[in-house]
Amino acid sequence: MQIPRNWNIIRSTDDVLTFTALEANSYVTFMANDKSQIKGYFKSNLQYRTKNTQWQRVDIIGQKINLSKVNDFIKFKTEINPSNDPLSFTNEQFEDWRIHFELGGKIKASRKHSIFI
Amino acid sequence: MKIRANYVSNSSSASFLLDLATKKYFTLTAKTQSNIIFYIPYKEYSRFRGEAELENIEYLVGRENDSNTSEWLTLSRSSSNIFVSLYFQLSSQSEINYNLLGKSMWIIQVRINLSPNYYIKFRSKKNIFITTPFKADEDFYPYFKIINADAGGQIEASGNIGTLFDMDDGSGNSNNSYYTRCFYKLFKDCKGLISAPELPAITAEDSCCESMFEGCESLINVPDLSLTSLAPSCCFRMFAGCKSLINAPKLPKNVLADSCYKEMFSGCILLENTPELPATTLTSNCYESMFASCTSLSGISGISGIMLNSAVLSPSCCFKMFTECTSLKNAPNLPINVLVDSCYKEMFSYCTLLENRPELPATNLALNCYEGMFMGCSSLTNGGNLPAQILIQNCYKNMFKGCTSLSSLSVEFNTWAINGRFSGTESDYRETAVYWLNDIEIAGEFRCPEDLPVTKRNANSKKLEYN
Repeated sequence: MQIPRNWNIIRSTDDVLTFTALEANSYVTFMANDKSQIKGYFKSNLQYRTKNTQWQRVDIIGQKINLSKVNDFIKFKTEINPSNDPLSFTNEQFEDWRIHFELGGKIKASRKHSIFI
Repeated sequence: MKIRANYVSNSSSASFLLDLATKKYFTLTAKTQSNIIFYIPYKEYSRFRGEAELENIEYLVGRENDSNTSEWLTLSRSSSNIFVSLYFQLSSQSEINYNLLGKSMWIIQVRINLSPNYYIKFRSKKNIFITTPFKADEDFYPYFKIINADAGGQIEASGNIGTLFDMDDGSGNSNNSYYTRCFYKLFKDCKGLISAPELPAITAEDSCCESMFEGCESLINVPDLSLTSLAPSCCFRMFAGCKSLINAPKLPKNVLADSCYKEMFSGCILLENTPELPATTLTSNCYESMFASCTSLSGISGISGIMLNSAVLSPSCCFKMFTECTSLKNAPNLPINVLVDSCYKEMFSYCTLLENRPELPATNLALNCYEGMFMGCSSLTNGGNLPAQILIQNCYKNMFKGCTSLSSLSVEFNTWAINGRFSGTESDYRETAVYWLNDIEIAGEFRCPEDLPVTKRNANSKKLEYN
């Protein structure tokens, strides 16, 4: 497959955060504080997919995603549209606003570039 | 007040509604000295039997803003008025026998010379009307011609065209309907026609209004269509080439038929907004080239039906719908997830001002679904994301060809060779994997999955590079 000769190729792994199960029955839960601005932001901008699904833009906050088999995965990414910059947490006044992942089992996290900064 | 007019012919009958207040005449009004010919074919292919039946047509002559009019008179060879002359003749010095497939055909010419501000009204008596040849043949159909249009002849048509034409095709099944090809090319190329008559029927049949006003370059006022059911090609090229038309008529709301609006406003270079098109169940080719080359078109919010998740597509439903709409900057969202063959093929091709492409969230593609969709859109910069992971043959063929400003695109498939579809001939490969981002020379970014084989085009070689 060909693209214009003056184009750069950017592999999607550069912009995707992947959690891969290293053992069966692992799980990932994406959590965010109950701040409407954060939740609203991720609801509209964060996309995810698992091994058997396509990218979808659904509110996943608080949902436990089971990775039942070895090598099952969940990937997260934000919109690529430059107008939708990924959320950053650089201002101290937002110190109570945070996101985190709850992980269970044995999981490998991989990313080449942050989707959040 | 409305009455139902009926007539009975042999074992069949037809009827339609006449509004006595406004719709019982068909009127031609001259704005300038106008010379018009009304060509009427008869015999063999028509239930109209020529001169004898022409005398069932009555006419009345008057002047605008003048209450003095003539009496209703019977149309005849000697009809005349000092300001309005009427005569009819056969196509040449004598009857010409058109031999067509063993059938005979004659054409009557009713010549109408109207002085400025004079009008002539027509109506049928005894409820007998001019009937279009219902065994359709392109060479024989009634039509008007303004023979001095290039010299400034201008007329307004008003009233109910149905008062002059038979509403029945002989089958006896048509009430309030336009039968197959009944107004086919009726006013085609009448460059001096300013206003169109009313079209009050509610049921259309195949091609009933096909090319009815095509090429009416001065047409400004057109009637809303009161149809509640459409038929294949019923409005095909109906207003094509109406270069003065700014506002589209209201169209039926929720019904469509195959090719019903195909090329309907093609070449209407002053048309600014689309009419309301709320239908959510699309038919094959229903909007094909509907607004092609409408170079002033910028308002497309009326096409709400195809912007809904609930819309159901059909093959080629939007093929070339907005091609060459060179004022269009923004495209509507197209949220449908399940596509059909060629549904959006060349939909926005050569929209050279298009800056934003629609959301294309579909992950279930179809043959040729996006082929040439943005071809030649030289202002488009962001190709957005194509989320499908499984490709179908020719789905992206020429999709961004010639988008000379395009600088970004994202895809989520990781191979062209799904299920062997692209592992066949070189031609298959060339038509899909190679020709989709061609003729783009500026710098850009291509985002794709880690495992998608990608090469850059070699500007100095035509050799295909397989991956």
